[in-house]
Amino acid sequence: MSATLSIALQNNLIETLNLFGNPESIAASALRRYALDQCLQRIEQAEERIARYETKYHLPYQSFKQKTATDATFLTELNQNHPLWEVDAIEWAEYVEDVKLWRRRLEAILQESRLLPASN
Amino acid sequence: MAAQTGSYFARIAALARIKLTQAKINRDITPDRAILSIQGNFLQYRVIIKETMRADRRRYAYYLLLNEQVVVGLDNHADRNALRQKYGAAFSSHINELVPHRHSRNKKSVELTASWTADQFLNELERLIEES
Repeated sequence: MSATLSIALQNNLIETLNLFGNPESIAASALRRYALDQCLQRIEQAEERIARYETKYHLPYQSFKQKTATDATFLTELNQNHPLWEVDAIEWAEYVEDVKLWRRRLEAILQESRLLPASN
Repeated sequence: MAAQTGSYFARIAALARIKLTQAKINRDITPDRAILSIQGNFLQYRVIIKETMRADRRRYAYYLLLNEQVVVGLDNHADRNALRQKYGAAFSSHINELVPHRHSRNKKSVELTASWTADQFLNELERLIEES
């Protein structure tokens, strides 16, 4: 699937791009690379923050969430040792969701670029 | 979503500047979600506000501390004690839900509440301290 994007560029930029090939293909490639970089950067930032919480609580988020909701002993100890854990937990949940969303976008770009096989 | 959330967070940040001293405010807004973090002092108490927003949900944790001990805590994380109060024996089927509740001093007990907002919390600090 593709769509057309019209971009106004300086004349001298187009002249220079012509030296390297077809400006339209170069622009499409540059935008793809920019989008990939942005997705990767967001994933890395979120993973770095997730890692801090995993180190602090010694669990991945899903296990942490499960235990806070179901394990009375775990919750009692958590409230004693980290009484502000909820402040961390709500942010942690967002970073986990960030990673899922940006990975999905990254995969979609790579699949359309034929760098990844289609998932279905 | 970003513009609407940005304006809501700006309002909370302005209120925090009025109500708290030494307020540190951080806003992390992306196209999908927004995170607001505020720490500051109110009288001899420390105030912590964390709020996150996505199109389909709002998570919050508002805490008031004295000498690093919880005086009162309001949040909607699905913790076991809150879930049990809301759903009884069937609580484990609801772990993905948000359950607004209030923690008493030193988190000795939990009671279910209506959903709180950061501006409500900031405006009711005096009352929360009196009640605690």
